[in-house]
Amino acid sequence: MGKDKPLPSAQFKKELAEAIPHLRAFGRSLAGDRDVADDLVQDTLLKAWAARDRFIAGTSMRAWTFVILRNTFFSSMRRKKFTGNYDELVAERILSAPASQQDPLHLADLQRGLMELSDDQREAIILVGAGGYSYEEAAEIANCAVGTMKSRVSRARKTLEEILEEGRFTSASDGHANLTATALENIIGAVEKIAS
Amino acid sequence: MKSKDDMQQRLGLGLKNMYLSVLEEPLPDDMLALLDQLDDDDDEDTDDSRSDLNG
Repeated sequence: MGKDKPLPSAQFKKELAEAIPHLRAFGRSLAGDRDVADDLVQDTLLKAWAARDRFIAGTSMRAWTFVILRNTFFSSMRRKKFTGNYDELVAERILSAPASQQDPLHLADLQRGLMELSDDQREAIILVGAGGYSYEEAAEIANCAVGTMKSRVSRARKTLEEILEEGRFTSASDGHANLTATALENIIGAVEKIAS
Repeated sequence: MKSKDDMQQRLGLGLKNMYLSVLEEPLPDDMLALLDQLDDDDDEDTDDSRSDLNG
């Protein structure tokens, strides 16, 4: 890898900018919250820029930055900086037209369902089911075997279908700790960031 | 199992639409500003970047 040349800074920045909308989509799907996801994207941009000499020209900027974002997210989850959540108000939108006599699928329901999955299953179905990545690409991003990725997607899809069909959501107020506490943590996190 | 097929179809469409709807949003101003400032931030260390690249 040492012989591979990094991108010139201007080209790196251009490719990084092009990846941002995808980072936001991936981040929001993971975190379930617009503001938290955008904080995550900003952290990712800074880390990617700091490590830009390690990016190999000709490889996928999107996949490379997805790795940074998901690692940032999961390490922050462990530190409780980002708490899995969903934005109930923003999410009250109809996503897909009704199939036959079915009710339409609401973004709120989908996001709530996603947040009921384990972190690795949620990541898997977002990458493959929403982002359109192949199992091989998704496995590389998530640093797991292809078979593991296939298994995670399959289990996520099955669980999500069951949750949505049966409407068995955990209540928003107790699904992922306390929303008030989460909001407070986000505010404290933002203050810490500004202060640092 | 028409209902099962319907659910799978709706789920697939819903996931894609959820993702695409974010792609179509304009970028927040602070994110654009951050991008503009990246050249100026070279001296600021982000120690976490190496571990986050390595998983």
